[in-house]
Amino acid sequence: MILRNMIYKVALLIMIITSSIMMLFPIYWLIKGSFEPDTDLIKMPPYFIPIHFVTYAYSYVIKDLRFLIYVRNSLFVAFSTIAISIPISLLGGYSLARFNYPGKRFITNFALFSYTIPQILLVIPFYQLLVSIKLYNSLFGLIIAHALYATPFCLLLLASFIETIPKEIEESALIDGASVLQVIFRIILPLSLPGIATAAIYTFLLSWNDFAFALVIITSDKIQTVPLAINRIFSGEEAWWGPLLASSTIATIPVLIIFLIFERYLVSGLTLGAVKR
Amino acid sequence: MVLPSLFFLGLWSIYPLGYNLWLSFHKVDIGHPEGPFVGLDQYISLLSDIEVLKSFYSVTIYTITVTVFQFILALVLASIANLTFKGRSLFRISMVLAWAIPVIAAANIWKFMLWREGVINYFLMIWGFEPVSWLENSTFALLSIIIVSLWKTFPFVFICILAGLQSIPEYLYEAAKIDGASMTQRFLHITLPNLKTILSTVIILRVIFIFNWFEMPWLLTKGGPGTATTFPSILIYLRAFLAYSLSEGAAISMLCMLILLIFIMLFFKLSR
Amino acid sequence: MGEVKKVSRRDYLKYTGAAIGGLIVGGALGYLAKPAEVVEKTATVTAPGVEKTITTTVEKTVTKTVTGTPTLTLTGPIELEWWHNDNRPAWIEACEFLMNEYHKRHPNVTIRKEVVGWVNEPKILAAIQTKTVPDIAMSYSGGAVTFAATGGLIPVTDIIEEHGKNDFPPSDIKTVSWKGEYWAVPDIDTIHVLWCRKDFLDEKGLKPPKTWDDLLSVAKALTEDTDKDGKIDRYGVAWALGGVDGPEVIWAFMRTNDAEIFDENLNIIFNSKETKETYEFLKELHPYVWPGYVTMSETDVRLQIIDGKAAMGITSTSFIYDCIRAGKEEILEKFITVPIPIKKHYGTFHCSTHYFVFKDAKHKEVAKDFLKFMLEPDILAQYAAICPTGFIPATYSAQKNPLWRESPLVKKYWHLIEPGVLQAPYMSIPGAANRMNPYVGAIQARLILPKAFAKIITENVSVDEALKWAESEIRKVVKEIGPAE
Repeated sequence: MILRNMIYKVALLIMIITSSIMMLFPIYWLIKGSFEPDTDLIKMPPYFIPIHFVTYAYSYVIKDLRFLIYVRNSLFVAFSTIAISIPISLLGGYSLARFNYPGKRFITNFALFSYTIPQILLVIPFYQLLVSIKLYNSLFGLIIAHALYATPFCLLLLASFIETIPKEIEESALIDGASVLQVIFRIILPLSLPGIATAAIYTFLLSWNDFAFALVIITSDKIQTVPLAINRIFSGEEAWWGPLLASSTIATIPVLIIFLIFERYLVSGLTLGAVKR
Repeated sequence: MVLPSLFFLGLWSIYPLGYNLWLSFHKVDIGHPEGPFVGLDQYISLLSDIEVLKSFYSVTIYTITVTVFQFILALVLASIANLTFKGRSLFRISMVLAWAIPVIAAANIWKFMLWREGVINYFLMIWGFEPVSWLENSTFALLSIIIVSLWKTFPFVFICILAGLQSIPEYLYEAAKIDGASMTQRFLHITLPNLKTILSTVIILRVIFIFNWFEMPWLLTKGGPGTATTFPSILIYLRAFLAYSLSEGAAISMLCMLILLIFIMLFFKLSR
Repeated sequence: MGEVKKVSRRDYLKYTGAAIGGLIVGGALGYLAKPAEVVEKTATVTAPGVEKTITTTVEKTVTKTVTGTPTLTLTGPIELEWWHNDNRPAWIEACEFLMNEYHKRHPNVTIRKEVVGWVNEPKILAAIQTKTVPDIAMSYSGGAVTFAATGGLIPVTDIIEEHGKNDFPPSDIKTVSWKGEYWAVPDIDTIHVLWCRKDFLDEKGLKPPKTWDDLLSVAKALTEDTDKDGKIDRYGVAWALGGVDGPEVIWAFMRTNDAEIFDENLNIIFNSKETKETYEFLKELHPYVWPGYVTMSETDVRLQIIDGKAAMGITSTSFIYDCIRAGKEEILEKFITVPIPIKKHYGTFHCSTHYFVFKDAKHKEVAKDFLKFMLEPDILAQYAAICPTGFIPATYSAQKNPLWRESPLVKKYWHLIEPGVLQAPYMSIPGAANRMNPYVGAIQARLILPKAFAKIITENVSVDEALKWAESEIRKVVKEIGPAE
């Protein structure tokens, strides 16, 4: 019995360690590479720690490319997208999960439609729509595009999370006279925080990493976003690996911070609301 | 209450879809900038184009493999992450970090690792194996894209399942343990049923996303070697933007949509 | 037994507060990271252990005026919008030079240049369709024709004719011609040559190869297992078969053997003796070529030859600048360049950039005047001199002009640049050496040439069969697009 327990624990440990290594190694390689001169990147046998530690890539990216401006722009767009799409998805998701009305199935399917064709072909028509309301070459236009692209996804995601919340709690609240909105904000929201956190992280990443929409919608230098800035590092036949890796590492930092903040919400709030009969 | 927002959304999806639909029935390319109406001809010629058929074949293999493995791995690892142990937060973060890296960076760093003098072959060699041409050999190229895509998209599924696991009340497991259920039984009869809604939503969303994914395959292999990894999304970019045959691209995308819609309908039927 | 735990008001407030607080903090952090608006600044690129620094100035706007010339009827302040693709400091500086000089001549035009990056097809197509176009934009190789086909550009035939079309290398003009007009003005070429590591050649007492046979024997001699561990450490040659955005190495070799896809009347002559010889030669060369060439990019080729993993490599003359910029100028001392080894005559693939004007631009005539100004030999020569070293101006008159030829960096590296200049008249894009046609874009985008080669190498198909396949693919393209003109 004790032996079985130990074997179980060891097996668990092995799985944890192996999966962590496999997931983290490429990231380590990326960060390590950003501190190496280009030619060291192709050495065989490879260097596992940077033998020639250099930081020119970072100084180039931050000083010459003025990368932080683009980071600021991307942060603005990403947060705004979240601010628009999460509330809509929460309300819509609740309605999809709890109410039954004709055409519900249709709406669910319809929300998926935008994703069934590859994104690059959505971009030009989207842009045409933005031009018609004079919001092209503007961060606000980009926010709208991102929000429209992200919301159906978040809607479906949150709907499925909300479905897992037992109805009894709401029912008792409704009986006690609470309005639907109150129910949503006081009961559903805290209980579905993990779902909301997931949807928020997803929306953030979608907006942060988006290249296609940003490419077409944004022209002016002052309002370009991170993926566009990274794209500009590629020039004709030359891709300067150092700055590419450095800018990618820098681009990861805000996301990392977001993860760290939201990771807690992925677990909290769930043991609230245990209903026993 | 939700209807206004949905209608608004719907409107904005209709135009792009309609636009592409129109394109697919006309012929807009370098020889015909005005785009005469050609009806179904475009579709017929595409469906008899070996390259197009092969691309759908490759992408199906790609999508199925990545989705299946994603879910298996995510279920296992999320269950582990759900247990309480020291360093659990760290474990979760490390599972999820791959998602944070921009696709350009991920693709390029894997390219470095996968080429013949890369670090992966280095590990193979010190264990006595022959180095593999990961990206230059047709079969291995597809395998490599699968692995890298798995690495990059696994975190999202992991998080979703983890979040779902969190909402399963503890007492269910306790009761089962008292009744003497084994770990596998608890998993099959408590975990899975409770995850069903989330699982099915995420599966559909993932399948659609991976099927239409452009950035990763393009950045890793640009469709090569030859046509081994040319998926429909890549084909669309090549034909619509580089060769300026916009309508061919639109038609291929309509085919993608058709296939995915069929899949969605079948999936919904099956999950009753 | 049962308990219903309601979410207390306090808990709810706590969570909402945390979420909002997080958003605010995040937003504030984002905002604080914003540096001050920059109008003029100096940027330095340094690498440790290297003395050289490169200073560039980036100005946001340049003000100029246009005094009345017969064709320009606009008065008052005019702003031209110029979409440029490249971020390299030297190129930015060169554009600044153009804008400054134009300003001196015509003081009331403002030129606003935006860098949009090299992946710009979707953006330009979207802009054309919505008429949110700039005045001038740039592209490379066959790009201008692709956009011209959308009907979104205006021809610049008058500019080319006025300057004199024989002053341009033939392919520069061919690349931009469509339906009897010229649609863009070429500015510079980056010509691909064979870079050879002098040190390795000297080691074996070899001379840089001139012909195919030379290339084969030199590559063979230089491919070896230098540390005797059973693996080849150094290959004779490295190049990138790339395709889509990459160099058309196969085409270069085809041209040195005078092989072509179409003849003067656009009949398909791809499957010819000359083409077969080319493919067979490349197949013979395959064991001595760096194996990554099927999917790797030109950047990797450069890394290979810098690192000595390949003794020779095909890349463009702009390699000079990229070494300078990375602070590794001393590397250039190890190299010597020669034109791509020939069978019959020089040949290489076309690689250049050009500028075009949009039909819905706000100031078409001023834009055209600017391009005309750019072509003046003195101006173009100076522009090319400031441009990344290794860029070759697209007119013969500028190439001969001492303002380019004798400029410090060009003079210093003339031995590396000259083979490029020698090959300039022999450049071509695949399928358009004889005559420009609408099929080249599709042929290139479908990677027909590289794929045929991949079939031979990875699928063990015979050369004959591969060429037959390629020809049938080319036929398909021709049929789909329809007759030219």
